Amino acid sequence: MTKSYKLILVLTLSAILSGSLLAFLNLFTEPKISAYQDKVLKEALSSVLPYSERIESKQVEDRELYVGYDSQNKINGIALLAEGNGFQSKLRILVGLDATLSQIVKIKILEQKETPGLGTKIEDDPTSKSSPKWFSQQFDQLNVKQAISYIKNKTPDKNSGEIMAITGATISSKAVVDVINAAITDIRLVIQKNPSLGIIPITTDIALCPDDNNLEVLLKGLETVEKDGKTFYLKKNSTGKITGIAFITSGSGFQSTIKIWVCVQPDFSAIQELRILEQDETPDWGTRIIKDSENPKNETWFIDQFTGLKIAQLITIVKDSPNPAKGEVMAISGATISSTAVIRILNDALPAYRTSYLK
Amino acid sequence: MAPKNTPTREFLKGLWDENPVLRMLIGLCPTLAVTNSAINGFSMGLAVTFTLVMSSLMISLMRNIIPKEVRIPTFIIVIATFVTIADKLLAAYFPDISKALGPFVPLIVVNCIILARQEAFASKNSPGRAVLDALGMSIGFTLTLTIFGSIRELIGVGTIFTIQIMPENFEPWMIMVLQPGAFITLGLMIGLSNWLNARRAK
Repeated sequence: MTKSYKLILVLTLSAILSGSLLAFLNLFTEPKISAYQDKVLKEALSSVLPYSERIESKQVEDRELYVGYDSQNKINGIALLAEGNGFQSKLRILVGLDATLSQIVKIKILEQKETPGLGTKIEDDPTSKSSPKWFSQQFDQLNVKQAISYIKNKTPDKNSGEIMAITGATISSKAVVDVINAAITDIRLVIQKNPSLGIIPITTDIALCPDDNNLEVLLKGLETVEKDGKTFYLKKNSTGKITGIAFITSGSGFQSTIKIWVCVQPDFSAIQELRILEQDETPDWGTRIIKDSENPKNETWFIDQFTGLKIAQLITIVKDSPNPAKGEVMAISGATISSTAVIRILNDALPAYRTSYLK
Repeated sequence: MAPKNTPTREFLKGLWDENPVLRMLIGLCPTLAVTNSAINGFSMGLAVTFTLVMSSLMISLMRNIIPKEVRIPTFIIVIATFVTIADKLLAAYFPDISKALGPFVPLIVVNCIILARQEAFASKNSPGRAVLDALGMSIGFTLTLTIFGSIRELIGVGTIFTIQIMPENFEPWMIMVLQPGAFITLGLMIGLSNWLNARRAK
Protein backbone atom coordinates (compact mmCIF):
# COMPACT_ATOMS: atom_id res chain seq x y z
CA MET A 1 0.00 0.00 0.00
CA THR A 2 1.49 3.31 -1.00
CA LYS A 3 1.85 6.09 1.54
CA SER A 4 -0.86 8.37 0.13
CA TYR A 5 -3.44 5.56 0.16
CA LYS A 6 -2.74 5.05 3.84
CA LEU A 7 -3.27 8.76 4.56
CA ILE A 8 -6.62 8.75 2.79
CA LEU A 9 -7.68 5.48 4.37
CA VAL A 10 -6.89 6.54 7.94
CA LEU A 11 -8.62 9.89 7.62
CA THR A 12 -11.67 8.46 5.87
CA LEU A 13 -12.02 5.65 8.35
CA SER A 14 -11.75 7.94 11.36
CA ALA A 15 -14.30 10.32 9.84
CA ILE A 16 -16.72 7.46 9.10
CA LEU A 17 -16.29 6.01 12.57
CA SER A 18 -16.77 9.40 14.18
CA GLY A 19 -19.86 10.14 12.07
CA SER A 20 -21.50 6.81 12.84
CA LEU A 21 -20.76 7.11 16.54
CA LEU A 22 -22.34 10.57 16.68
CA ALA A 23 -25.36 9.52 14.63
CA PHE A 24 -25.87 6.62 17.01
CA LEU A 25 -25.57 8.90 20.04
CA ASN A 26 -28.01 11.33 18.50
CA LEU A 27 -30.68 8.61 18.54
CA PHE A 28 -30.60 8.72 22.34
CA THR A 29 -29.96 12.39 23.06
CA GLU A 30 -32.17 14.05 20.44
CA PRO A 31 -35.53 12.95 21.92
CA LYS A 32 -34.30 14.01 25.38
CA ILE A 33 -33.18 17.44 24.13
CA SER A 34 -36.37 18.18 22.23
CA ALA A 35 -38.48 16.86 25.10
CA TYR A 36 -36.67 19.28 27.39
CA GLN A 37 -37.22 22.19 25.01
CA ASP A 38 -40.91 21.30 24.73
CA LYS A 39 -41.14 21.12 28.49
CA VAL A 40 -39.50 24.53 28.92
CA LEU A 41 -41.84 26.08 26.34
CA LYS A 42 -44.90 24.38 27.84
CA GLU A 43 -44.05 25.60 31.33
CA ALA A 44 -43.41 29.09 30.03
CA LEU A 45 -46.68 29.07 28.10
CA SER A 46 -48.74 27.91 31.04
CA SER A 47 -47.09 30.56 33.19
CA VAL A 48 -47.98 33.39 30.78
CA LEU A 49 -51.46 32.04 30.02
CA PRO A 50 -52.43 30.70 33.45
CA TYR A 51 -56.17 30.67 32.78
CA SER A 52 -56.05 28.58 29.63
CA GLU A 53 -56.98 24.90 29.80
CA ARG A 54 -55.38 24.06 26.48
CA ILE A 55 -52.81 25.91 24.41
CA GLU A 56 -52.47 25.37 20.68
CA SER A 57 -49.71 26.68 18.47
CA LYS A 58 -50.63 28.25 15.15
CA GLN A 59 -48.42 29.34 12.29
CA VAL A 60 -49.46 32.68 10.82
CA GLU A 61 -47.33 34.53 8.28
CA ASP A 62 -44.04 33.04 9.56
CA ARG A 63 -44.99 33.84 13.12
CA GLU A 64 -45.75 31.32 15.79
CA LEU A 65 -48.85 32.20 17.79
CA TYR A 66 -49.97 30.30 20.86
CA VAL A 67 -53.71 30.41 21.32
CA GLY A 68 -55.13 29.53 24.72
CA TYR A 69 -58.63 28.10 25.18
CA ASP A 70 -60.78 27.89 28.31
CA SER A 71 -62.84 24.85 29.32
CA GLN A 72 -65.69 25.93 27.00
CA ASN A 73 -63.22 25.94 24.09
CA LYS A 74 -63.38 29.70 23.83
CA ILE A 75 -60.20 31.65 23.13
CA ASN A 76 -59.11 33.30 26.36
CA GLY A 77 -55.54 34.27 25.67
CA ILE A 78 -52.82 34.62 23.08
CA ALA A 79 -49.12 34.22 23.65
CA LEU A 80 -46.35 35.27 21.34
CA LEU A 81 -42.60 35.25 21.28
CA ALA A 82 -41.08 38.73 21.24
CA GLU A 83 -37.48 38.86 20.09
CA GLY A 84 -35.08 41.74 19.74
CA ASN A 85 -31.79 43.18 20.85
CA GLY A 86 -31.11 44.23 24.40
CA PHE A 87 -28.08 46.15 25.62
CA GLN A 88 -25.58 43.44 24.68
CA SER A 89 -27.56 40.31 23.97
CA LYS A 90 -30.59 38.98 22.21
CA LEU A 91 -33.78 39.06 24.27
CA ARG A 92 -36.43 36.39 23.88
CA ILE A 93 -39.58 37.16 25.81
CA LEU A 94 -42.80 35.19 25.88
CA VAL A 95 -45.74 37.57 26.18
CA GLY A 96 -49.18 36.36 27.26
CA LEU A 97 -52.08 38.62 26.23
CA ASP A 98 -55.78 38.48 26.86
CA ALA A 99 -58.05 37.48 23.98
CA THR A 100 -58.65 41.10 22.96
CA LEU A 101 -54.95 41.98 22.91
CA SER A 102 -55.68 44.90 25.19
CA GLN A 103 -53.93 43.68 28.32
CA ILE A 104 -50.82 41.68 29.10
CA VAL A 105 -51.53 38.70 31.34
CA LYS A 106 -47.91 37.90 32.15
CA ILE A 107 -44.54 37.92 30.50
CA LYS A 108 -41.64 35.53 30.88
CA ILE A 109 -38.09 36.30 29.86
CA LEU A 110 -36.85 33.14 28.19
CA GLU A 111 -33.39 34.25 27.20
CA GLN A 112 -31.11 37.17 27.96
CA LYS A 113 -27.39 37.59 28.50
CA GLU A 114 -27.30 41.19 29.64
CA THR A 115 -24.56 42.62 31.89
CA PRO A 116 -24.39 40.42 35.00
CA GLY A 117 -25.65 42.23 38.07
CA LEU A 118 -27.15 45.14 36.13
CA GLY A 119 -29.03 44.23 32.95
CA THR A 120 -29.78 40.75 34.31
CA LYS A 121 -32.11 42.44 36.80
CA ILE A 122 -34.75 42.40 34.07
CA GLU A 123 -35.00 38.69 34.83
CA ASP A 124 -33.77 38.40 38.38
CA ASP A 125 -32.95 41.20 40.82
CA PRO A 126 -31.09 39.73 43.81
CA THR A 127 -31.03 43.12 45.54
CA SER A 128 -34.78 42.88 46.02
CA LYS A 129 -35.05 40.02 48.50
CA SER A 130 -38.85 40.12 48.66
CA SER A 131 -39.55 39.88 44.93
CA PRO A 132 -36.52 39.40 42.70
CA LYS A 133 -38.81 39.21 39.68
CA TRP A 134 -40.36 42.63 40.29
CA PHE A 135 -39.40 43.98 36.89
CA SER A 136 -41.20 41.37 34.80
CA GLN A 137 -44.09 41.27 37.31
CA GLN A 138 -44.80 44.90 36.50
CA PHE A 139 -46.14 43.69 33.16
CA ASP A 140 -48.85 41.59 34.83
CA GLN A 141 -52.27 43.01 33.90
CA LEU A 142 -50.61 45.94 32.14
CA ASN A 143 -52.85 47.89 29.81
CA VAL A 144 -51.41 47.74 26.29
CA LYS A 145 -54.16 49.55 24.38
CA GLN A 146 -51.45 52.12 23.80
CA ALA A 147 -47.73 51.50 23.56
CA ILE A 148 -46.03 50.62 26.86
CA SER A 149 -43.83 53.39 28.19
CA TYR A 150 -41.20 53.36 30.93
CA ILE A 151 -40.81 55.99 33.61
CA LYS A 152 -38.43 56.75 36.44
CA ASN A 153 -38.75 58.18 39.94
CA LYS A 154 -42.52 58.00 40.18
CA THR A 155 -45.17 55.35 40.66
CA PRO A 156 -46.14 53.84 37.33
CA ASP A 157 -49.78 53.73 36.30
CA LYS A 158 -50.75 50.31 34.95
CA ASN A 159 -53.83 51.70 33.25
CA SER A 160 -51.74 53.99 31.06
CA GLY A 161 -49.31 51.20 30.28
CA GLU A 162 -46.47 52.48 32.40
CA ILE A 163 -43.69 50.47 33.98
CA MET A 164 -40.73 51.51 36.10
CA ALA A 165 -37.27 51.25 34.54
CA ILE A 166 -34.44 49.66 36.54
CA THR A 167 -31.91 52.14 37.90
CA GLY A 168 -28.55 51.23 36.40
CA ALA A 169 -30.16 49.15 33.68
CA THR A 170 -32.18 51.73 31.79
CA ILE A 171 -31.14 50.49 28.38
CA SER A 172 -32.04 46.89 29.17
CA SER A 173 -35.39 47.96 30.66
CA LYS A 174 -36.08 50.09 27.63
CA ALA A 175 -35.15 47.22 25.32
CA VAL A 176 -37.69 44.94 27.02
CA VAL A 177 -40.39 47.59 26.55
CA ASP A 178 -39.43 48.16 22.90
CA VAL A 179 -39.30 44.47 22.07
CA ILE A 180 -42.73 43.87 23.60
CA ASN A 181 -44.27 46.96 21.97
CA ALA A 182 -42.99 45.95 18.55
CA ALA A 183 -44.28 42.39 18.95
CA ILE A 184 -47.74 43.51 20.04
CA THR A 185 -48.09 46.03 17.18
CA ASP A 186 -46.95 43.38 14.75
CA ILE A 187 -49.35 40.73 16.04
CA ARG A 188 -52.30 43.15 15.97
CA LEU A 189 -51.75 43.74 12.27
CA VAL A 190 -51.29 40.04 11.58
CA ILE A 191 -54.47 39.11 13.43
CA GLN A 192 -56.42 41.81 11.68
CA LYS A 193 -55.27 40.57 8.30
CA ASN A 194 -56.17 36.98 9.19
CA PRO A 195 -59.73 36.91 10.51
CA SER A 196 -59.84 33.17 9.76
CA LEU A 197 -57.73 32.58 12.87
CA GLY A 198 -60.92 32.78 14.84
CA ILE A 199 -59.38 35.16 17.30
CA ILE A 200 -62.02 37.45 18.75
CA PRO A 201 -61.90 40.89 17.08
CA ILE A 202 -59.67 43.28 18.91
CA THR A 203 -61.32 46.02 20.90
CA THR A 204 -58.53 48.45 21.31
CA ASP A 205 -58.45 52.21 21.45
CA ILE A 206 -56.31 52.13 18.39
CA ALA A 207 -58.69 50.83 15.74
CA LEU A 208 -56.72 50.41 12.57
CA CYS A 209 -57.51 51.71 9.12
CA PRO A 210 -57.61 49.23 6.24
CA ASP A 211 -54.17 48.20 5.08
CA ASP A 212 -54.26 50.08 1.81
CA ASN A 213 -52.79 53.22 0.31
CA ASN A 214 -55.81 53.78 -1.93
CA LEU A 215 -57.83 56.76 -0.78
CA GLU A 216 -61.15 55.27 -1.90
CA VAL A 217 -60.62 52.21 0.27
CA LEU A 218 -59.53 54.35 3.19
CA LEU A 219 -62.55 56.61 2.94
CA LYS A 220 -65.04 53.76 2.87
CA GLY A 221 -67.59 54.10 5.68
CA LEU A 222 -66.16 57.34 7.02
CA GLU A 223 -68.25 60.44 7.59
CA THR A 224 -66.92 63.65 6.04
CA VAL A 225 -67.10 66.82 8.14
CA GLU A 226 -65.96 70.34 7.26
CA LYS A 227 -64.63 72.39 10.15
CA ASP A 228 -62.86 75.73 10.00
CA GLY A 229 -62.20 75.21 6.28
CA LYS A 230 -60.56 71.83 6.84
CA THR A 231 -61.91 68.40 5.91
CA PHE A 232 -62.08 65.65 8.53
CA TYR A 233 -63.13 62.05 8.05
CA LEU A 234 -64.75 60.55 11.12
CA LYS A 235 -64.54 56.87 12.00
CA LYS A 236 -67.49 55.71 14.10
CA ASN A 237 -68.33 52.46 15.81
CA SER A 238 -71.72 50.74 15.75
CA THR A 239 -73.10 52.91 18.56
CA GLY A 240 -72.19 56.09 16.73
CA LYS A 241 -69.25 56.95 18.98
CA ILE A 242 -66.32 58.56 17.17
CA THR A 243 -63.34 56.21 17.37
CA GLY A 244 -60.94 58.03 15.12
CA ILE A 245 -60.42 61.18 13.09
CA ALA A 246 -58.61 61.20 9.79
CA PHE A 247 -57.41 63.97 7.54
CA ILE A 248 -55.16 64.43 4.55
CA THR A 249 -52.17 66.73 4.58
CA SER A 250 -49.27 67.31 2.27
CA GLY A 251 -45.93 69.06 2.02
CA SER A 252 -42.72 68.96 0.07
CA GLY A 253 -40.31 66.12 0.49
CA PHE A 254 -36.87 65.83 -1.07
CA GLN A 255 -37.99 66.18 -4.67
CA SER A 256 -41.75 65.72 -4.67
CA THR A 257 -44.92 66.51 -2.80
CA ILE A 258 -45.72 63.94 -0.14
CA LYS A 259 -49.39 63.45 0.58
CA ILE A 260 -50.18 61.80 3.88
CA TRP A 261 -53.31 60.28 5.36
CA VAL A 262 -53.29 60.68 9.13
CA CYS A 263 -55.71 58.99 11.48
CA VAL A 264 -55.62 60.15 15.11
CA GLN A 265 -57.37 59.42 18.38
CA PRO A 266 -60.65 61.38 18.86
CA ASP A 267 -58.86 63.61 21.41
CA PHE A 268 -55.79 64.13 19.21
CA SER A 269 -53.61 62.44 21.84
CA ALA A 270 -51.99 59.82 19.62
CA ILE A 271 -51.70 58.78 16.00
CA GLN A 272 -53.64 55.66 15.11
CA GLU A 273 -52.36 55.14 11.63
CA LEU A 274 -50.35 56.85 8.95
CA ARG A 275 -50.51 56.20 5.20
CA ILE A 276 -48.46 57.82 2.49
CA LEU A 277 -50.93 58.42 -0.34
CA GLU A 278 -48.67 60.05 -2.88
CA GLN A 279 -44.95 60.61 -3.21
CA ASP A 280 -42.39 60.65 -5.97
CA GLU A 281 -39.15 60.57 -4.02
CA THR A 282 -35.83 59.18 -5.29
CA PRO A 283 -36.40 55.50 -6.09
CA ASP A 284 -34.61 53.15 -3.66
CA TRP A 285 -33.65 56.07 -1.42
CA GLY A 286 -36.50 58.37 -0.52
CA THR A 287 -39.07 55.72 -1.38
CA ARG A 288 -37.86 53.80 1.64
CA ILE A 289 -40.38 55.84 3.65
CA ILE A 290 -42.99 53.48 2.16
CA LYS A 291 -41.04 50.32 1.58
CA ASP A 292 -37.60 49.93 3.09
CA SER A 293 -35.83 47.24 1.12
CA GLU A 294 -32.80 47.60 3.42
CA ASN A 295 -34.89 46.13 6.19
CA PRO A 296 -36.53 43.05 4.63
CA LYS A 297 -37.86 41.85 7.99
CA ASN A 298 -40.17 44.81 8.28
CA GLU A 299 -40.23 46.96 5.17
CA THR A 300 -42.87 49.31 6.54
CA TRP A 301 -41.13 50.00 9.86
CA PHE A 302 -40.91 53.73 9.22
CA ILE A 303 -44.66 54.16 8.82
CA ASP A 304 -45.41 51.56 11.50
CA GLN A 305 -43.58 53.51 14.18
CA PHE A 306 -46.29 56.18 14.02
CA THR A 307 -48.97 53.76 15.18
CA GLY A 308 -49.70 54.59 18.80
CA LEU A 309 -47.31 57.55 18.74
CA LYS A 310 -48.20 60.22 21.29
CA ILE A 311 -48.64 63.66 19.75
CA ALA A 312 -49.33 65.82 22.79
CA GLN A 313 -46.09 67.62 21.91
CA LEU A 314 -44.27 67.83 18.59
CA ILE A 315 -42.84 64.63 17.15
CA THR A 316 -39.09 64.42 17.69
CA ILE A 317 -36.43 62.43 15.88
CA VAL A 318 -34.01 60.28 17.88
CA LYS A 319 -31.05 58.19 16.72
CA ASP A 320 -32.13 54.91 18.27
CA SER A 321 -34.72 53.18 20.47
CA PRO A 322 -37.46 55.78 20.12
CA ASN A 323 -40.03 55.99 22.92
CA PRO A 324 -43.48 56.33 21.31
CA ALA A 325 -44.92 57.58 24.60
CA LYS A 326 -42.70 60.65 24.30
CA GLY A 327 -43.48 61.18 20.63
CA GLU A 328 -40.12 59.91 19.45
CA VAL A 329 -39.49 58.29 16.07
CA MET A 330 -36.43 57.33 14.07
CA ALA A 331 -35.47 58.75 10.69
CA ILE A 332 -34.15 56.53 7.90
CA SER A 333 -30.40 56.86 7.44
CA GLY A 334 -29.85 57.24 3.72
CA ALA A 335 -33.27 58.80 3.32
CA THR A 336 -32.96 61.46 5.97
CA ILE A 337 -34.51 64.31 4.00
CA SER A 338 -37.53 62.31 2.86
CA SER A 339 -38.17 60.79 6.27
CA THR A 340 -37.70 64.03 8.20
CA ALA A 341 -40.00 65.70 5.66
CA VAL A 342 -42.81 63.33 6.69
CA ILE A 343 -42.25 64.29 10.33
CA ARG A 344 -42.09 67.99 9.48
CA ILE A 345 -45.33 67.79 7.48
CA LEU A 346 -47.01 66.10 10.45
CA ASN A 347 -45.64 68.62 12.94
CA ASP A 348 -46.91 71.46 10.73
CA ALA A 349 -50.35 69.96 10.24
CA LEU A 350 -51.22 68.39 13.59
CA PRO A 351 -51.49 71.53 15.77
CA ALA A 352 -53.55 73.35 13.10
CA TYR A 353 -55.92 70.43 12.56
CA ARG A 354 -56.21 69.93 16.32
CA THR A 355 -57.23 73.55 16.92
CA SER A 356 -59.67 73.55 14.01
CA TYR A 357 -61.29 70.31 15.03
CA LEU A 358 -61.58 70.98 18.76
CA LYS A 359 -62.86 74.53 18.20
CA MET B 1 15.80 11.05 25.48
CA ALA B 2 14.88 12.12 28.97
CA PRO B 3 14.23 9.29 31.45
CA LYS B 4 10.58 8.33 31.72
CA ASN B 5 8.60 9.69 34.63
CA THR B 6 7.06 7.34 37.16
CA PRO B 7 3.28 6.86 36.63
CA THR B 8 2.55 8.90 39.78
CA ARG B 9 4.71 11.71 38.48
CA GLU B 10 2.88 11.52 35.13
CA PHE B 11 -0.36 12.12 36.97
CA LEU B 12 0.85 14.74 39.43
CA LYS B 13 2.65 17.03 37.01
CA GLY B 14 -0.61 18.43 35.65
CA LEU B 15 -1.72 19.57 39.09
CA TRP B 16 1.08 22.05 39.70
CA ASP B 17 4.40 21.83 37.82
CA GLU B 18 2.76 21.76 34.40
CA ASN B 19 -0.61 23.14 35.38
CA PRO B 20 -2.12 24.09 32.02
CA VAL B 21 -3.56 27.44 33.07
CA LEU B 22 -1.10 28.72 35.66
CA ARG B 23 2.22 27.28 34.43
CA MET B 24 1.74 26.64 30.70
CA LEU B 25 -0.75 29.46 30.09
CA ILE B 26 -2.88 27.45 27.69
CA GLY B 27 -6.65 27.05 27.64
CA LEU B 28 -7.05 30.65 28.76
CA CYS B 29 -10.08 31.33 26.60
CA PRO B 30 -12.51 29.13 28.58
CA THR B 31 -10.69 30.10 31.77
CA LEU B 32 -11.53 33.75 31.24
CA ALA B 33 -14.95 33.22 29.71
CA VAL B 34 -16.87 30.80 31.89
CA THR B 35 -15.46 31.31 35.38
CA ASN B 36 -18.00 33.90 36.53
CA SER B 37 -19.30 31.33 38.99
CA ALA B 38 -17.81 28.30 40.73
CA ILE B 39 -20.32 25.89 39.23
CA ASN B 40 -19.63 27.09 35.69
CA GLY B 41 -15.87 26.73 36.14
CA PHE B 42 -16.34 23.26 37.64
CA SER B 43 -18.68 22.06 34.87
CA MET B 44 -16.35 23.39 32.18
CA GLY B 45 -13.53 21.50 33.89
CA LEU B 46 -15.56 18.28 33.85
CA ALA B 47 -16.44 18.68 30.16
CA VAL B 48 -12.74 19.17 29.37
CA THR B 49 -11.81 16.21 31.58
CA PHE B 50 -14.14 13.92 29.67
CA THR B 51 -12.90 15.12 26.30
CA LEU B 52 -9.21 15.05 27.23
CA VAL B 53 -9.20 11.64 28.86
CA MET B 54 -11.21 9.99 26.08
CA SER B 55 -9.21 11.67 23.30
CA SER B 56 -5.88 10.81 24.89
CA LEU B 57 -6.91 7.19 25.30
CA MET B 58 -8.13 6.99 21.72
CA ILE B 59 -5.11 8.73 20.19
CA SER B 60 -2.73 6.63 22.24
CA LEU B 61 -4.45 3.45 21.01
CA MET B 62 -4.28 4.72 17.43
CA ARG B 63 -0.74 6.11 17.71
CA ASN B 64 0.87 3.37 15.59
CA ILE B 65 -1.59 3.55 12.71
CA ILE B 66 -1.86 7.33 12.33
CA PRO B 67 0.56 8.52 9.62
CA LYS B 68 2.65 11.48 10.69
CA GLU B 69 1.38 13.65 7.81
CA VAL B 70 -2.28 13.54 8.83
CA ARG B 71 -1.89 13.35 12.60
CA ILE B 72 -3.34 16.81 13.31
CA PRO B 73 -6.55 16.29 11.25
CA THR B 74 -6.98 12.89 12.87
CA PHE B 75 -6.52 14.40 16.34
CA ILE B 76 -9.10 17.03 15.52
CA ILE B 77 -11.62 14.44 14.29
CA VAL B 78 -11.20 12.41 17.48
CA ILE B 79 -11.38 15.50 19.72
CA ALA B 80 -14.39 16.91 17.87
CA THR B 81 -16.19 13.59 18.23
CA PHE B 82 -15.76 13.54 21.99
CA VAL B 83 -16.63 17.22 22.33
CA THR B 84 -19.85 16.66 20.40
CA ILE B 85 -20.63 13.69 22.64
CA ALA B 86 -20.02 15.81 25.74
CA ASP B 87 -22.12 18.66 24.31
CA LYS B 88 -25.05 16.39 23.44
CA LEU B 89 -24.93 14.58 26.78
CA LEU B 90 -24.89 17.87 28.68
CA ALA B 91 -27.79 19.22 26.64
CA ALA B 92 -29.78 16.04 27.16
CA TYR B 93 -29.11 15.36 30.84
CA PHE B 94 -27.93 18.67 32.35
CA PRO B 95 -29.75 21.33 30.29
CA ASP B 96 -29.16 24.09 32.85
CA ILE B 97 -25.39 23.66 32.83
CA SER B 98 -25.45 23.36 29.06
CA LYS B 99 -27.33 26.67 28.85
CA ALA B 100 -24.85 28.39 31.19
CA LEU B 101 -21.78 27.20 29.32
CA GLY B 102 -23.37 28.21 26.04
CA PRO B 103 -21.06 28.19 23.04
CA PHE B 104 -17.99 27.31 25.11
CA VAL B 105 -18.59 23.56 25.09
CA PRO B 106 -18.33 23.23 21.27
CA LEU B 107 -15.25 25.46 21.50
CA ILE B 108 -13.43 22.82 23.56
CA VAL B 109 -12.50 21.42 20.14
CA VAL B 110 -10.03 24.26 19.69
CA ASN B 111 -8.91 24.30 23.33
CA CYS B 112 -5.16 24.08 23.03
CA ILE B 113 -4.78 21.96 26.17
CA ILE B 114 -6.36 19.01 24.42
CA LEU B 115 -4.52 19.27 21.13
CA ALA B 116 -1.27 19.98 22.99
CA ARG B 117 -1.57 16.83 25.10
CA GLN B 118 -2.28 14.70 22.00
CA GLU B 119 0.67 16.13 20.09
CA ALA B 120 3.11 16.22 22.99
CA PHE B 121 2.14 13.16 24.93
CA ALA B 122 -0.67 10.79 23.95
CA SER B 123 0.64 10.15 20.44
CA LYS B 124 4.01 9.05 21.88
CA ASN B 125 3.02 7.08 24.98
CA SER B 126 1.16 3.98 26.01
CA PRO B 127 -2.60 4.22 26.74
CA GLY B 128 -2.06 3.85 30.50
CA ARG B 129 0.39 6.73 30.67
CA ALA B 130 -1.71 8.82 28.28
CA VAL B 131 -4.76 8.45 30.50
CA LEU B 132 -2.77 9.27 33.64
CA ASP B 133 -1.34 12.36 31.98
CA ALA B 134 -4.77 13.41 30.71
CA LEU B 135 -6.34 12.88 34.15
CA GLY B 136 -3.64 14.92 35.85
CA MET B 137 -3.89 17.76 33.35
CA SER B 138 -7.66 17.90 33.43
CA ILE B 139 -7.89 17.70 37.20
CA GLY B 140 -5.37 20.52 37.36
CA PHE B 141 -7.49 22.46 34.88
CA THR B 142 -10.76 21.70 36.71
CA LEU B 143 -9.32 22.67 40.10
CA THR B 144 -7.90 25.90 38.70
CA LEU B 145 -11.19 26.84 37.03
CA THR B 146 -13.18 25.99 40.14
CA ILE B 147 -10.88 28.14 42.30
CA PHE B 148 -11.11 30.91 39.69
CA GLY B 149 -14.89 30.71 39.65
CA SER B 150 -15.05 30.62 43.45
CA ILE B 151 -12.88 33.72 43.84
CA ARG B 152 -14.87 35.69 41.26
CA GLU B 153 -18.23 34.51 42.58
CA LEU B 154 -17.21 35.19 46.20
CA ILE B 155 -16.14 38.77 45.57
CA GLY B 156 -18.57 39.49 42.74
CA VAL B 157 -21.76 38.04 44.22
CA GLY B 158 -20.83 37.06 47.79
CA THR B 159 -21.47 33.34 47.33
CA ILE B 160 -19.56 30.16 46.43
CA PHE B 161 -21.54 27.46 44.60
CA THR B 162 -24.50 29.79 45.29
CA ILE B 163 -24.04 29.34 49.07
CA GLN B 164 -23.96 32.71 50.82
CA ILE B 165 -20.50 33.22 52.33
CA MET B 166 -20.13 36.97 52.69
CA PRO B 167 -22.05 38.80 55.42
CA GLU B 168 -25.44 40.27 54.48
CA ASN B 169 -24.17 43.85 54.35
CA PHE B 170 -21.33 43.01 51.93
CA GLU B 171 -21.60 45.09 48.76
CA PRO B 172 -20.59 42.79 45.85
CA TRP B 173 -17.81 43.98 43.56
CA MET B 174 -19.75 43.64 40.34
CA ILE B 175 -16.60 43.97 38.22
CA MET B 176 -15.36 40.57 39.37
CA VAL B 177 -18.12 38.71 37.52
CA LEU B 178 -17.70 40.89 34.44
CA GLN B 179 -14.96 40.36 31.87
CA PRO B 180 -12.32 42.60 33.55
CA GLY B 181 -12.65 40.53 36.74
CA ALA B 182 -11.48 37.47 34.79
CA PHE B 183 -8.28 39.23 33.73
CA ILE B 184 -7.64 40.61 37.22
CA THR B 185 -8.08 37.16 38.76
CA LEU B 186 -5.88 35.54 36.11
CA GLY B 187 -3.09 38.05 36.70
CA LEU B 188 -3.23 37.63 40.46
CA MET B 189 -3.36 33.82 40.29
CA ILE B 190 -0.39 33.59 37.91
CA GLY B 191 1.50 36.06 40.06
CA LEU B 192 0.76 34.01 43.15
CA SER B 193 1.86 30.77 41.52
CA ASN B 194 5.09 32.37 40.29
CA TRP B 195 5.78 33.70 43.76
CA LEU B 196 5.18 30.29 45.35
CA ASN B 197 7.47 28.61 42.81
CA ALA B 198 10.20 31.17 43.35
CA ARG B 199 9.99 30.61 47.09
CA ARG B 200 10.12 26.85 46.66
CA ALA B 201 13.17 27.08 44.43
CA LYS B 202 15.17 28.91 47.08
